Amino acid sequence: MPHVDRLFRLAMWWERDRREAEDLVQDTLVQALQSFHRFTPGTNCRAWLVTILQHVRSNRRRAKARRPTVEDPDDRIAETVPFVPPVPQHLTDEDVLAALRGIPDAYQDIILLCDVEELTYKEIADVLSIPMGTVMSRLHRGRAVLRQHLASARRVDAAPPRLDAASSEGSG
Amino acid sequence: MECREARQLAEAYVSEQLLVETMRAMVAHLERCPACRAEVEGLRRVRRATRSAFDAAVDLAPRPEFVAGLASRLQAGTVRRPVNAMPRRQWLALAASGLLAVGAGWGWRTWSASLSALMHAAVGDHQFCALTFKLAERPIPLDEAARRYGGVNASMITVAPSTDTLSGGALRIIERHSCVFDGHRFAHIVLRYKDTAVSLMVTDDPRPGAAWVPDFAMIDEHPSRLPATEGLQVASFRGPRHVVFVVSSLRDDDVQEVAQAMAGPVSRVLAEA
Repeated sequence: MPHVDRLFRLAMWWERDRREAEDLVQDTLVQALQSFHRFTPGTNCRAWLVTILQHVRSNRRRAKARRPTVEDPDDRIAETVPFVPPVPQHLTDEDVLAALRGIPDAYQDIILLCDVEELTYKEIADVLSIPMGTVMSRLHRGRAVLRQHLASARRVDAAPPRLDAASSEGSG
Repeated sequence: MECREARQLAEAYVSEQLLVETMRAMVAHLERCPACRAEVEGLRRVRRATRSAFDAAVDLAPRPEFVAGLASRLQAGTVRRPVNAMPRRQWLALAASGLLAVGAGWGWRTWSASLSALMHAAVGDHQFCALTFKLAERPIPLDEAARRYGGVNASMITVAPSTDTLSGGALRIIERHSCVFDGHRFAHIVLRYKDTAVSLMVTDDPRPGAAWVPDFAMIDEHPSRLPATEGLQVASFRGPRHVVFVVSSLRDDDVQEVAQAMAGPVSRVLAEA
């Protein structure tokens, strides 16, 4: 089942709970089988499955009365990304995942679908039911915010302990 | 293209979303502009690091028992069905139709005789077409093959080399045509990497049902290593209804790297075919 691993990773990232993620993936595959007549041969099968995964996830959240993110992060962040720092030379997996967790959910989703799942902008627009222009603007802002988080994480790591101590003593 | 435009297109470029002409202009600009090249490389590095971290995260991986159990339950039709599920008879008919071959052993590593024969034909084609130019039947241009045989040949006319920076430098396409070896017709793209010829060959998937059962087990664009054959390294990935082989005398890791780099662009054109 070559697509299950990728579907599960997405589900696990979103749900942060193994049991929930397993239920989500199972429901997704059941839905996929039931809707198979709607699959267009020759199109990206994984994108189709991710679209179903996202729909199932939204339905489950609605059923639990946990509304999906209502805040549009575009407005909130649009004016707060004045500077995109250079990418740190050394990135650990922990740095990257922590930085990704630290940015708004809507940006996480776009970056995961584009950079990890390698879906096209059109496929991402279909998965998230948003216009292509929104995909592009969110991706741009999301990547910028991610770079800020990565840069600040590295700065913290890179700061020599002695200087930190001296600085805190001096300011105190 | 000026720097300003290149910076605007950088995101789409690393996401491989540019049209071919724009991509060429972008590549030309990057070749002469170190600042934009550094910007693009930074974007790429974060993109690669994100995917790599996500794929390597152990706590995101499914339990093997879950995957095995899920496959069994789907095949048996015993999973809990959501509301508005189809009647059970239809469900079983669907399962019986072969759609649930998902976990039934059509795994990529389960080589059927036909696929194995196809791999040997791909290796032979690389030896006799790309290396020694001694094919029994003369290769024909892809556009002519598209008119005669349709399908995949037309798609391969437009596929562009990956823009990823590989460890050994850029990939170059030096030839593309349609040729036949051992009764199998391939859309054949010859690339050059590390001063060595690499063949990328696309052909129809020979497995029974592959043409009409596009189930999600049969589509996997992630390359697999195949056993070395006649001293050549082979990698393979699949698109809808097609199998793609990458063959070369390069080291195994190099062939895998080329296959990985070309899987995205090739799969995309196959999906649009």
